[in-house]
Amino acid sequence: MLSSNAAPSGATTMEAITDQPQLRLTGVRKTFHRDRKTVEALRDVSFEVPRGQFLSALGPSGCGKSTMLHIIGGFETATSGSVHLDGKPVTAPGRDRGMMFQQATLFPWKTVQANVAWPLLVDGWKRKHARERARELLATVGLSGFEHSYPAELSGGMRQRAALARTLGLAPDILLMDEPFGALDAQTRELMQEELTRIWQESQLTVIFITHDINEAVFLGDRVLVMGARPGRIIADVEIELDRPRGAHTKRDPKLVEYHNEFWDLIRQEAGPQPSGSRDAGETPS
Amino acid sequence: MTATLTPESRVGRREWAEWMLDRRWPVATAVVLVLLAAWQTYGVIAGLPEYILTPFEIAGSVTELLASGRLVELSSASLGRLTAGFLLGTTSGVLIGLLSGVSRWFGDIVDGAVGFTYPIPKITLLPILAIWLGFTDSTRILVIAIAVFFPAYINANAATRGVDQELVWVAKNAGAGTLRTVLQVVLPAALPRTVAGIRQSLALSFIFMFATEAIGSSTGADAGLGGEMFAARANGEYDVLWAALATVAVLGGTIDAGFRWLVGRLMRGQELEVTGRG
Ligand SMILES: Nc1ncnc2c1ncn2[C@@H]1O[C@H](COP(=O)(O)OP(=O)(O)OP(=O)(O)O)[C@@H](O)[C@H]1O
Ligand SMILES: [Mg+2]
Repeated sequence: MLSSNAAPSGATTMEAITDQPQLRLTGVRKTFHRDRKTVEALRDVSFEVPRGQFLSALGPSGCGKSTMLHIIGGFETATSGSVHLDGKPVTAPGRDRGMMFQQATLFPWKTVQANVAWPLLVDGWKRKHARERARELLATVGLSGFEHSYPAELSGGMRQRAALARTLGLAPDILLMDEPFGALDAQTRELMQEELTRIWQESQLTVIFITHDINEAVFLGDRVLVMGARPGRIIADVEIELDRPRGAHTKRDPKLVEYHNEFWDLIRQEAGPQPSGSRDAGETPS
Repeated sequence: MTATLTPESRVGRREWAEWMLDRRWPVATAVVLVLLAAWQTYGVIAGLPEYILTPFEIAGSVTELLASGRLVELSSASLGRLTAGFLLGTTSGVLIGLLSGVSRWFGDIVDGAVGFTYPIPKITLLPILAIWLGFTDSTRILVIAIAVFFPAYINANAATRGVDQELVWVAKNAGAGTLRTVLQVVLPAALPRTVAGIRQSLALSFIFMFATEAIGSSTGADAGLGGEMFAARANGEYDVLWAALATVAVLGGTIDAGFRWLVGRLMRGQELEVTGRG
């Protein structure tokens, strides 16, 4: 249902796409220069994502999670290294990679429905069809009845649902989600996790899901990347062997607790004994 | 839990604040009426100096001037200048501001020029322009326009530069081209602050309308409210002075209220950023 957009997708055949990873990062580095300071946000990040995988990426604040996603999305360019999607280098943003940003990014001057319909209109859809599709997408994320509300009139969770609907409307192959539930309360967050799982299972989507919540990463992911800070890099890459479909029962699974402890230990080791001022360890005057 | 822990007085104060907010228009009106009544009562009982009139005397004077047609004459002369200066200044300010926010090199050039001229008190341009154009309406309109250009420019420019990077990326993600992104994302996102700047320009246009009429204006039909007030003060016609003042106040308040109403109608979803709680 989610992949039923009218626009024809790329002419890749099934044979061509099964033997290579959908997404491949090779030695991605990103260095920011600001105020005569250099920040190494990412160092030698390399990994592959097979089609259809739900990949969680976990890491402390400032370890470069957003930066990594912005580079995959084509919004920022890597200082060195490369990103390949279906074998082709990524150089610019595209509808094949739907991005959900960390901050709320609905257009406040448009209604929820108009927000969701906008990317469709950009794609050349007829106004009437875009409106119908927007309503469908809003139903998928449980926002029926709020089509004509403005973002300012919605709760934080509802805004994220609307943003998800808008992103799904791009009919992407990969969903890039940057801590989409970070600002939600615990209950809303759990509901959204379960709904995202449902939406993902009903679709063909590959998801890269950023979070700094260990349980969230494990509950959602087929696989979890753990990142360390200063410089940002990958310190662990773990397959999650929890049965699907996952739901409320998964949260009580003892294996989830084991994963949680394993990742906590990793993160604790990574943080190490913290001397004062270690926050700036990755930043050196240039 | 926290509610029961809150001291009684704080709960009371919050409820009172909410009660006030719900009734802010009636309350504001009541406050104004009470002040006017106090003014009137004091004037009648204790007496006021001859250059201060009571509200009833001012109302009488306004009625008289209205009946003679003089007030309409003065107001339309003033509003004509104000409108011309305001439109000229804000239109160019907003357009140049938006453009310089969108285009880097254009922005750098204009910003330099504006930074240089901004600190100059604009009213000093009046005598300078008067050398060239005389104390004419052209001079006055030009001074108003130049004065109101700045808040319009500065806010439109800052608004455009301050648009969230992520909003632009959302557009890029959807595959929108530069022109569409500017027109459908950057400009609407910049609108609230731009409109707030226009509102500042509007307030400023009243000040400069008054100031430019005060100097070198005729006493005829085109004296304007400002010119008439200064002439009245010189002649000791305090009733005319107060009537003109009251008219400026009412016009200014009405036009600003109309502006806010229009913003509320046209900018659903973003209106609070422009007008505050009102
Ligand atoms: N545009 C930028 N200019 C300069 N430095 C930047 C920029 N963007 C990010 N950085 C720096 O790069 C590092 C990684 O930032 P990033 O936003 O990717 O972290 P994050 O893992 O997403 O953190 P959080 O969990 O807080 O969102 C930080 O040290 C940050 O200060
Ligand atoms: Mg981030």
